[in-house]
Amino acid sequence: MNTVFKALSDPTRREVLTLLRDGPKSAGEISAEFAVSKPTMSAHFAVLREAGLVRSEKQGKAVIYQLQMSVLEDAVFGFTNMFGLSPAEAQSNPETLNRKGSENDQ
Amino acid sequence: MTNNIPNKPAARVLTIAVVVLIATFAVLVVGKENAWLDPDLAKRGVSALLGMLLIVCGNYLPKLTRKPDADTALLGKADRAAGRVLILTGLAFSAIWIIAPLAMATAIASIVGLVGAFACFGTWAWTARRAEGGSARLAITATDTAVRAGVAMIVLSIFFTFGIFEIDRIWGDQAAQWSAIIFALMIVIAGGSPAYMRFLRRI
Repeated sequence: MNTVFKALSDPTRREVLTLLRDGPKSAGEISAEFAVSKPTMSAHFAVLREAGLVRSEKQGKAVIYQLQMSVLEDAVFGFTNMFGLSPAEAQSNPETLNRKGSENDQ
Repeated sequence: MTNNIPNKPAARVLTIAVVVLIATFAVLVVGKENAWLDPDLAKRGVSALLGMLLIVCGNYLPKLTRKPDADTALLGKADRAAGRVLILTGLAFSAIWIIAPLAMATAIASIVGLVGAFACFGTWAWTARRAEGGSARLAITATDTAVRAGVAMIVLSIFFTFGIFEIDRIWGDQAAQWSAIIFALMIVIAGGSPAYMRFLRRI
């Protein structure tokens, strides 16, 4: 459960999980939504996968990610979204990442 | 980079949880038969464990792997909704058996369980209709990997047990025993007949 809390503590990873609620997406599609480097995004994917919150599979050259949260993890995700780091706090924190549209500096 | 981290297998955790619960179930039954445990306490314990099995199955349901050709987005939503229903049903069922007076628990717990059963299978059926353009296949069987089929069978068995409790309460011991025999035969037929499994997948 520790890895789950660690994964959910980051607003970018929570945004990734929110995106995946609409269905499976490729790593490229997800990365395009964030103004961060590919290695950083790759590290985020690895944390999510290690926590078991997403699963990945290769389709040709693309890596497809899909949501894999238990009901309890989904509830914890809801709570961290409700009480976790707000977008304003995330912008002031260099460790966290912001969605494209709110940040145009990259 | 860190890309070589494997997907976390949910099925292993689910299997361990189910085995532990069934082992506890067996200990309670043996304890009752050998008079180590008060019969009422054993009855409450066994019934509460059935609810806990539902909670475990409901919690892990959305984590179980689907077939690659499945409509993952919609079926994922169906699994999450059905999982929540199973958890709520399990919590209510266990709480009734732990807290309520024995006579009241016997009367209302199975009804709560059966309502949960219809809600759960209704959720799967409703979503499957949307997922497959009107096809009436249940969401759980539309994506039937071996583990998912196993979980569906566990859930179905628990719900059938609730039904037997009710039959026992209303029509007595003999009707309940016949119902149990018929269900056991259905399981044997389902396990041995590919045609029957294909039929189940079409429901």
